[in-house]
Formats: sequence, structure tokens, C-alpha cells
Amino acid sequence: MRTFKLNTLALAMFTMLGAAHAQQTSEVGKITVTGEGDKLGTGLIIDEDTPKAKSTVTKAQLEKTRSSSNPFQALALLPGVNSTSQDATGMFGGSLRVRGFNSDQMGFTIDGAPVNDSGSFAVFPQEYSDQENLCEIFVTQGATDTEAPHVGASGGNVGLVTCDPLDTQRVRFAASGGQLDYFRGFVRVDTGKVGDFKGFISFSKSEVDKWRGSGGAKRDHVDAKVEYDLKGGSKLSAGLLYNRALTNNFRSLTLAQVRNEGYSADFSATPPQHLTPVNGTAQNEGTIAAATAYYGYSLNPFENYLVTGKANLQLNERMRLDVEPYFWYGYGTGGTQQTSLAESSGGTRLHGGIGDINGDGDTLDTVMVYRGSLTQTFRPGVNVKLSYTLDNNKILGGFWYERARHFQTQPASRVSNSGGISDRWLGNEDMLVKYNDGSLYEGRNQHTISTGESIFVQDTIDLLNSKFQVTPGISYRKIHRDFTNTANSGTNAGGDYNYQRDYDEVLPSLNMSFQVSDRLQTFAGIGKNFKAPGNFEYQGAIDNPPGVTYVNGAPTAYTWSIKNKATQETSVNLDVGTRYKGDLFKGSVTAFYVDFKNRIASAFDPSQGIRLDINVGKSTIKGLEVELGTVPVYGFSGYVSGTYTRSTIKDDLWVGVTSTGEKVYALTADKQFPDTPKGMAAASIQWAQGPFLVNLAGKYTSRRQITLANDASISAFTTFDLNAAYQLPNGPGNGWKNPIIRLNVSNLTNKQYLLANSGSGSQFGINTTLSTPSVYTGAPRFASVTFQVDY
Amino acid sequence: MRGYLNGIKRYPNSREARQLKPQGTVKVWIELDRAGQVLGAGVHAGSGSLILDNEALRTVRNGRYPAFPADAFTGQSFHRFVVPIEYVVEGG
Repeated sequence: MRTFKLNTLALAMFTMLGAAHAQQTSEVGKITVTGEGDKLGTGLIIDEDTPKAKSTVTKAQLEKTRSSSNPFQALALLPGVNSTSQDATGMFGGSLRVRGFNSDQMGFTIDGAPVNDSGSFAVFPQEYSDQENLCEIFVTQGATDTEAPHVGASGGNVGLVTCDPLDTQRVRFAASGGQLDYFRGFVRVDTGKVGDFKGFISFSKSEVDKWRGSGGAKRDHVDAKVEYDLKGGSKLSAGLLYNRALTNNFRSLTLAQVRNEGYSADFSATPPQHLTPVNGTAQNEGTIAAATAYYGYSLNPFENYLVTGKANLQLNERMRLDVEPYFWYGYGTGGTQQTSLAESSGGTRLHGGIGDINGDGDTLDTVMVYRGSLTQTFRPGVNVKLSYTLDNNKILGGFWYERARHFQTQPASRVSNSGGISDRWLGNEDMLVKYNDGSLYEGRNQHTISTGESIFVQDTIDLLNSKFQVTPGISYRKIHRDFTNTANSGTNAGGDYNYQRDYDEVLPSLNMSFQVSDRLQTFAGIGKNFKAPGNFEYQGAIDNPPGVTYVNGAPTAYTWSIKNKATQETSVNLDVGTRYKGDLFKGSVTAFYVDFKNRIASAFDPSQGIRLDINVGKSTIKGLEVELGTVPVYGFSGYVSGTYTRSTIKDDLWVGVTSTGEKVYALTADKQFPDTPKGMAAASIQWAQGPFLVNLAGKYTSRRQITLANDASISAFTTFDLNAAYQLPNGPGNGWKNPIIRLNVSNLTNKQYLLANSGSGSQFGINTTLSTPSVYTGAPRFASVTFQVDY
Repeated sequence: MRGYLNGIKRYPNSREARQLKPQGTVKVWIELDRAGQVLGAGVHAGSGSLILDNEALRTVRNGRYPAFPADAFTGQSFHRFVVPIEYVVEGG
């Protein structure tokens, strides 16, 4: 709401009239507005006036929850959001769906720089900024912002905004401890203003054990930011994020495994044993490797950094230029790496076959190894925006360009009988499995150059004395994929090929808001979104039959063709809503409708007689989102949100043909999309008085389907989290300040519940006949304590 | 007065404002007739940030103002007020 209720202000003006009686002009006393805006206690709603659905979590919420939490957890109470975490600390990642869109269908940014995987658009929330350094996280539930730098966002965007360096010098220490040997240390140093410069750097170290099975997570993290004030509304700034993590995975389970092996079933705690190598005879460890994996061979080692620069230049009174380059680097492996490789020899095999792994002097064996899907990404890009104000028009135009180089390989490392791995990061070639010609064994070997571009222009038109605002916008987005497969041992990947493809779309949007009264605003928006398919569509393109003929270990005769024909997903999103801002509370109601075309899902391709990721046609998503937050009254404040979502596929899916040639369909028409609960409700109640703060938050999530045909589902559940804090007195003199002790309890009632295994929106099976769905079991009650102090 | 100002304060919420986090003081003017109707408004002294200038302008334009008391601004059919609005961002 942008309207003053100015009776009081006017009275204040008139109070000054005595002095100004004879003057034509009177000056009113200064009004100060802070970036925190409102002072709503829970920190889950802000004074929003964007002409489309948007919700924001502010520092007031982030600073009372557990510091190790990831952004998916932070968004959990907002309307439209269905987010899960593998554990209470957030260090193992999780999943996020908004209005049924998966996180890989949404655009994520940190301070404006895109952070989705450049190939698959996947999001890894545990890799991002420390929560202590975040000032807000916002989600645009439906229409992606016109200027947002994405080509993979068919379902809105999420932005992480880091806090600026402080104007005053400060050193902050925080230490946390809790169940499961949870430990987190955090230190942040702010330089304060030194002339026109200010900056901060922080470091954190976090560790926790898994709540089921063996293993845990370790994370080291650095955030830094510097700013140089050029005056006149211009500034230069730069940021750094560095993250290094080593995480054991949780095992996903089928519903039968949950019933039979128990809620806490996980990977094996015992390393599998090699067969004794014997020269001249074949040892086959295929069955040993295929058994339930050893926890130590299901790892996610990952290292990433993000460097951002910003030049925000006020060129003149009406014109501003923002140039924001960034560089993302990521390196890591993931998944369950326990598998086996078959040794072989001969010039008719790739690189002469896989060499002797177990050291028995022959190449007859099938040996258990640790083989990981290694990804290395170099991703430079830049956002450039120019805004110009002319009377009632504010015109924003610009472009985004990035060129991501994405290396995806799959080397293998030897493992010992004690569970040791020669090189768990799979980066040291001397320690990895080789082919007989001495080259490095690869289970996949592909290089993708993804060049993303967008140009956009948007006009914000103020009409009727700013009561009516109209924002038409249009963007053209394009991604060029340049995919090169180098012959490797993966399925149908034994020859070299290069494939290039463009995906582009013109995306118009129109958003409007109308200030009905000083307390009531309505808004409506319509926008088109698009998402290009992932680069994994181009893997395994060698035609088989006939397969590849090798001469002296080199591929010589083969053909290839891209089997997956998926085109880009597009969606048209319509939001209509109203917002109310009163003295005691503010809230919003939003109805939404999404018309989805060419949604990518796993389905049968009749032209090839195989199942692939293809477009499954039309689907719709419609629903209602409500949120309401109060100001503190006698220290009490509250927030509630509610979501109803109906997400359906239009048609039955063709899944095969009978022996007599009749088509077989799966009954998917009018069924709810998987992992999209029809109903969700959240509430947060808080009491903050003097040094005390107590906050209780609850979230209800209704039943979720886990196949497209809705023949398997997981039950509704409700969990509660408790956050409490006490501020101790400051130390004497200029010593320690703001000492706070905080208690965070997750899943207070120790509720047992199931979560869909939904790493990607396209990975759900059609029905239980064709594939067995898997789930994760929900994390039990977990408590931790944090002590924080400033100097 | 202080309580009232705390109650009405609002920082601009556009994506651009949230990322740039501009700071500064805008002096806006507003002219009211004796019935409290807005005759005009404008920026008296800009902050250096168009985002803040526009927000401040929008704020005063959208106000609902009561009629002048009979003994105020006698002889004037309208009066101009200048309101300094300072926007600051808390770090953290």
C-alpha cells in the first residue's frame, strides 16, 4: 500500500502553521523510512505493492531460525510454497515446489546473478549464502520478472538478497551446538565506513550427522562484500560466495521398503568386500556392487564460488545504468557412486577396453568401484539495465548474456575393503581407473556450451495521480546449446558427436495495480514464461543397433540421432489479487491460473517405441493463495497463509501398444500433478517482549500424489517448529554487545511423515506398473542452541 | 508524531529497489487547496535515486488530506508544503 493515511500528517502540518502562517510554503518535519519497512513481528510479510503475486521473508524471520537453514526451508511458510528438507539443519538440501512448479522450473538468483545449474536448471540450496548474511528471500509465485536473467523459469523466480556491509565496525561471533553432533561456528567482520568504502567478510564451518544411517554433512563457507560509494546515487560493489561441502546422501526408499525395513532405513554401514584377485580367473563383483550401497559410496562432494560485481550509476536525474557482471564456478560429484566396471582388452573396444582394476594382472574381472557423475561449470555472465524516467513513464530496458561451459564426466576410483576411496573428489587422474591405452576411463564425457541471452524492455506507467499503475513488458530469451559428446563407456555414448540447438521465445507481460483506497489495492497480471529442456536430452544419441565399430580402440563406424524431441515448456500465468493494509494487520488474497503447454515429463514416444522425457501436452494449474500478518500487540504477532492448488494434466498418456497393435493409455487425464498438495496452511505465532522472543510455527501439507496416474500417494502431515531467544545484558564499557542465546527445535511433536523424491519435475513415473515411486522419510525432532555476540 | 511516522513508513518494494537498496533524502512538495484537494506535487530536491524520488512523490500524491481549518493560511486559496523523507537501509 503506498497511500498515506495522512489525517495525522496533515494535522502535524497544520500544527506548524502558526510559524508559517503568512508563508505560501511550509516545511514539515523529516520522515525517516528504513529498508526494513514495516515492523511486522514475524518477518513473513512485507508492505508489498508489486502488481503480481509475490511473497517475502525478511531478516526478522531469518535471524530467529536455525542459522544453517537453507533458502528452501526459509520459504516454507509462504503461500504457494511446498518445500522439504532432508534433515532439520538444511545442510543436505531438499526440494521446493511453488504452485506445482519444481525448483528446476524456477529462476534462482543471488543478488541478481542466476544460480540454477546451467545444464539441468537444478537448484542446490545448501550451496548458497550463509543465512546470517541474508536480508531477504522473495518468491514470485507465477510470472517470472521481465528483467530476471533466466531461460529455465516457467514457474516464477526466487531471489536471495544479501545484507549490505554495516556503516559501523563490528565483529560478530556465533556458535551453535545440538543433537547429532551438530556444530556451527560463524564469524563476520565489518569494516564500517572507511571514507567512502565499507565491507565485510564472514566465515562459517558447519557439521552434523545424518539422522538415519551413517555419515553426515560438512560445510565450509565464506561470504564477502565490499561497497564504494561514488556519491550522487552511484556506487560500485563486489561480492564473493565460496562454499565447500562434503555430504553423505540419505537413501530414498520405496513405500514397501519403508514398511519392511523401517522409517530409519538407510544405506549399509558396512563396506562391501572385494573378491580375492586371482590372476587368470574372472572375479565378478557385479552382485556385490548392486546390493544396497555403502553409505560412504553415496556422497555429494561439492565446491562452488560466485563472484559478483556491480556498477550502479546514476547518469543524470532521469537516467540510471546498472552493469552487473558475475562468474559462477562449480565442481562436484553426486548420486550413489557404488557400481562395478568390467575389465576388458582388445582393439575392438573403446581405448582398448578398461584396464586391470584389481591389480591381479588380467583384464577378466568385473570390479566394484566408486564412480561419480562429475560436473564442472565455468559460468561468466552480465546483466545490463538502463532506466529512464519521463513524466509518468519509467522505462527499463537491458540485456543479459552468459556463456556457461559445462563439463560432465564420470570417472571411477578404486575402493578398499575398509571403505576407503582413492580419490573421492575424482579429480586426480593418477588415482583413477584407466583404459588400456592409458587414457582416463569415463562413464560419460560431454561438454556443453550454453549461451543464454535476453533482451527486455518494460514501461511502468503511473496514471490517475499514481493510483493506477500499468506495467507492460516484453522480453526475448534465447539459449543456444552446443553439446559435444566424446566417446565414452556410457550407454549409447561410445562415439563422438556434436549437436547444436536453439530455443527461444518472446515473452510478453502486462501487470496492473489500482489503489482502490488508502488501504486497499487490487492487482492483475498476465505473463508468459518459458523453460528450455535440459542438456541431458542429448546424451546417449548413438544408434544401437548398429552400435559402434572400434578399430585400434577408436570409434570408426557409427550413426547417431537425438532421440529426445522435447521442445521448450511454455506457460501463461494469470494472477488476480487484492491487498489490504490496516493498522493492525495486512494481508492479500490471490487467485491464479496457469495454462501450461508442452510440459516435459517422462512418457512414451510412439515414434520410437521407447520411454523418454518428452512433452506431455497441456495442463493447467489453478488455485488461491491467502496470507495475513499482524503488527505486534502487547508483544504478540502472528502470520497465517493458506494455499489451494489444483494442478491437472489434460489428457491420458499413451504408454505403449499391445501385441495386436492397440494403443495403451495411462489414466492421467484430470489427475493432480505429483507432489502438488491441494491444500497447505501455515501459521506463525510470536511473542516478543523486552529480551524475550518465543515463536511457534506450524505447517500443514495435504496428501500428495507420487505418480502421474495418481495410483500412489503419501499422507498429509503437520509439523511444528519452535524458536526462542533471550538477549543477555551488554558487557561493561565497549566490550561485548547484543549477546543472544537462541533455541531452535524442529518437528516439535516428532511427527513421522513421507516426502516425495522429486529432484526434478520430470522424474515422476506415470504409474506404479511402469515404475516404482520412491520417497524420503521426514526428519525427526531436532534441537540446537546458538550463542551469538558482537564486539 | 514519531509513532505516526513509524506507522506509515515504507521502503519501495520493487525488485530493482530491493537489489539496489538506494538511500537518501527526498524533499517533495505538495500543493493543497483549502478543501484538502491535491493541486500538484513534485520533487523539491531529489535524493539522487529515481526510485526514492518516485516513491516519495507517490506517497504524498496518494494522501487524503482534510480541509484547512478556517483560521489557517487565511487569504490563501492554496498552500504548498515541503516534506523531507529520508530513506535508509539497515545493514546486517
